[in-house]
Amino acid sequence: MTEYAMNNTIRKLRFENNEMTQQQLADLVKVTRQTIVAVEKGKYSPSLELAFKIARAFNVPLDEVFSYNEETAEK
Amino acid sequence: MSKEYDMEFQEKRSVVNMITTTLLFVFYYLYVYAQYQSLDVASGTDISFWAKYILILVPVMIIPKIIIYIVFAIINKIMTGDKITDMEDEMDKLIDLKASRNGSIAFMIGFMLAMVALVSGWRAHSMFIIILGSFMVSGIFGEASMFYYYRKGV
Repeated sequence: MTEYAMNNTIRKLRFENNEMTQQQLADLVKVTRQTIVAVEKGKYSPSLELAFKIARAFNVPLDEVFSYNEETAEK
Repeated sequence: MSKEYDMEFQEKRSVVNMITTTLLFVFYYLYVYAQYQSLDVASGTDISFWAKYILILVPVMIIPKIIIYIVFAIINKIMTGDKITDMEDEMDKLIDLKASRNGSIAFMIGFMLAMVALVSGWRAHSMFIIILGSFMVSGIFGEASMFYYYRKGV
């Protein structure tokens, strides 16, 4: 079975940005904290718009926040 | 921080809604059934009786739910200190859509069962009881779906 996964570095970027809280990031990109938690844990793939907003909040390019991995896994 | 393992506001809201839906339906059904027992079925008014109580069900479900939601939001604010927000972002909308879809499927199955009951020669009130039950099951299923998507991701 082929698995597609979006990885992200939000946790690391928050840490590098004065330990920004999930709520602060959520306020910056105008979503709920729950959504930031879900994106950070890889439980939700954000829209392109939200992905850009998150990258802009950290002032980094999009591919520094999100990466796309294709993994093959036997089930 | 332990908050990461706690239930989020939306998850708690789904649980509260599931409990509210179940209790409201059970009490409403018991009330309606008690009214039905005192009805003269031979007069042929039982279809309009059930139709009337299905229509009344709408405000009976909506008004207490709004009140309970407000009370829940205030209690949650006092207990956790989280700000009360009615903001709905893209993930909330997606989860809401998927949960509504699941609830609608559950209701459709109930509706079909009600039709099967009629075709099989059951009395008309059986159909209405099944439809009332379908309202409850679809409501609970929708909220359970919402809880699942918030917890497991979407």
